[in-house]
Parts: sequence; structure tokens; C-alpha cells
Amino acid sequence: MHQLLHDPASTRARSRSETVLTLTDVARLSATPMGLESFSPLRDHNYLLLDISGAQAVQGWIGLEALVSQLRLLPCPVIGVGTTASSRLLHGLDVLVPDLPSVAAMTTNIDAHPLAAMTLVQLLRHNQEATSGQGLFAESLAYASLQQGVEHKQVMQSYNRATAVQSKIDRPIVIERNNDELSITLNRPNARNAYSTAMRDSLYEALLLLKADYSLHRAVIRGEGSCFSIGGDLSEFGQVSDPSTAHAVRSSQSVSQLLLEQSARLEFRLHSACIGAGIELPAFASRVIATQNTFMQLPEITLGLLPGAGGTVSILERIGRQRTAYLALSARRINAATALEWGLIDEII
Amino acid sequence: MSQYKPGARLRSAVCATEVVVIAAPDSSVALNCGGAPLLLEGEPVGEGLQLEASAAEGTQLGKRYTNETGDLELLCVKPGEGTLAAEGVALVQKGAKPLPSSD
Repeated sequence: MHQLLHDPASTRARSRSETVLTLTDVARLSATPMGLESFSPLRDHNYLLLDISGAQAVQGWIGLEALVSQLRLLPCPVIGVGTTASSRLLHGLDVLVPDLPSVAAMTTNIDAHPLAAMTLVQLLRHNQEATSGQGLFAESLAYASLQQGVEHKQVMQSYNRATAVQSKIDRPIVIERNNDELSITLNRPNARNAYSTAMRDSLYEALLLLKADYSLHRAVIRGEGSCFSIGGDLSEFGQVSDPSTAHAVRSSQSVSQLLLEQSARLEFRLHSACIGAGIELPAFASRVIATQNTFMQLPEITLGLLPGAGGTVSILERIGRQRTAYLALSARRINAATALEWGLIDEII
Repeated sequence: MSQYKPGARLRSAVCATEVVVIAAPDSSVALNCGGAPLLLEGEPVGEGLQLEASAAEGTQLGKRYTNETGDLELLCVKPGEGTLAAEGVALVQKGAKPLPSSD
């Protein structure tokens, strides 16, 4: 059971990750020579739960500033439990949830894939302080480190490969021009607009057209069929030869980079499922409109991965680090109303 | 015959095609669409021009067209019915070499 501990020495002997520390506990621990070393996927705890409902000041041992610096270097998620945090303290928290029941959705995933969880929060800490371009670079490297890591490999081994959806339509993207407006439609309705390699390349081509033609006022991007997009095409997963080539592919023809550049001229119109890349890509645009039945989800951690289509830059920019981490660690859906309240979208129609 | 700079916008005299120059040779080159010379912005359309049946394969929005030597490349920003040509030779759609999956 969850319990508050005030004897830091006993935390080591406890079963994994079931303790909630207070700021004072953490300050006391970090003042010892071993510091917080037991918080690591390779040690006793896959995450650190920090009760911040009480005092948020630190007495003695170590100052709050120094404590926050240590938390930001921990190789595991730091989950704050409480309703408010000072901005100084928030800087040291990867996620903030109101109560312990809200923690469970994340800790199940973190315990299943602690390496992915660690890499995700480290990346978000980095991207929060980096330029967007640097963030995309870091995301690609982080993704590469996971995609042939033990966690993703295990998932793929037990995974019953989704059969590729054969589509008679060989145009994964349809582009049309109406005067000064470009219309771009994701066009794999049979595959619920799964983001395939061919769709990626066609979308890149369409965005290049927008970039090349200044007379185009804007591009409006939609999905054909029952939903906007269910994200990366799982039937294509596991095709990559090696992680360094995969990084080179992401660096060479980056849809995310183009979306970032053309952000001001882009509008996305979302409906129903927006999963993984299906929300990572829209979040780059200056304007995102969604229907009432839209929902968003970042399920990558369940595959031992992290969002790799630019989401750790685009979603981070829109909703901040703690909420991005919550989405990516919990893999839970949020509905359009929550997305609007958080700023992930701009309007519900 | 004209020399073109990258970024220049050209339009067909006989169909809806418009292109942006992505790359062009240093020397002058005669560019046609649908059998008639491509026009620069503001250049008037000549009298009595018609789409030639032998040059009506059409252009596709967003596709890049290139010549055999590869020193000329045009991006179609408005599609039309004519065939793009340089020095009387039809340009071909540039097939981008697809990159592999990154997953």
C-alpha cells in the first residue's frame, strides 16, 4: 500500500516504487553520499512519487533549487502528487497528478517499460529548454535508442503482426487547389489513415508545394473516412534495418520539420481518433479544429517507444511538459473538451 | 528562349498549368506547355494559341518535372492539360527515390 515514509533508510528495503516521498524525504536522501541513486530502471525504483500536498519549502539539508536540479537529472519519471506546485518546484516534476488513483494509469506502463519511460521524461526535460529544431533532433535520437532496445523488441516478438491493409486507392494523400488554398487529405480510409511510409512521403511532397508557392495562403489538412488518423502503420513496424539509418531517414525528409516551418499557414481539421502521429503532426499547426467526438492518445509507451513524429516538440509546446508526460506515460485517451481546455486544439466544431 | 531563375513562376498559354522553377540551366532554354511557350507573370497570351493534341498529357499538382540532363526542374503548382517540354522534348515526372520505413 502507499504510505508516507519519513525514514529514508527504509525506502531501499521497500518493495519497488510503492512509497510516496515528501520533499523533506527527498532532501534528506539527496544529502546522503548515495543520494537518489536507487531511483533508476536499473535499481530499486522505476519512478519517484513525490507528495507535494504538504509543505513545498525545504528545511535544512539542501535548498529547493538544488533539489530541483537533482530531480531533473534522475533517470526515471518524477511524479508529483498534489493539486498545485510552485513554478520552481514544478520545474523538477515530470508529471503532476491530483491523487494516487491517477498515478496507477502511469505506473503500470512505467513498470512494464521503464527504459522507455525514463527516456521520454529525459527528452521532455531537454526539449523544454531547447529550440524546436534541437528538440526534433533529440527526439529522433531518443526514438532510435528505444527502437532496437530490449523493451520494444520484446513487444514486437509477442506481437501478432497486423496484416497490411491493401487499398485499391494508391494515393495515400490527395491534394487539391482552390485558388489560394491547398487542401490536403489523408486518404487511406480502409486503414483508418494509418501513417504509412508512402503517406509520409506524399505528405512531405504536398507540404513542399505549400512551401514553394507563396501565392498559397494556407493548407487545410483533413482525414478521409471514419477518423483523422490512428498514427504509425503498425503493419510496417519492424522494417527498419538499424536505428542509425532510421535516424537518418527521419532527418532527411522530415515532415515534422516542414510542419514546423509552415506552421502559420497550416490548419488541421480533426475528427474521431487522433492517435500517435495523428495528433503529433496536427499539434505543429497554428490552428487545430476538432469535432466533438475527437479523442487523442499517445500509446507509444505500450510498445516500448516514445512519440517519434515530433510530438515531444509540438505537443510539449502546446500543453507543457507535465501534461505531455501524462499523456505519453498513461497512454490514456483525452476527449476534445479536455484537449481544448489544455490548448492541444484551438476550437471544437 | 529565356534564362530562368529558381523561384520564377511561369504559366501555360493554353491550359491552366502553372509552375515554379526549382532549377534551371545557366543558358537560355525554350520552355513549352501544351505546345506553346510558357509565359512569365504578366506576359500577355499570344493570339490564336491552342493546346496541341500531341502535347496534352497533363500536369499534376505538386509533382516535379525534369529534363534528361536533370539541370532543369519545374514544380507544378496548378495542374492543367498540357505537357511540359524543354527544347521540344517532353519533361518527365521526377520520381522521388522513396526513403525506407523508419520504424
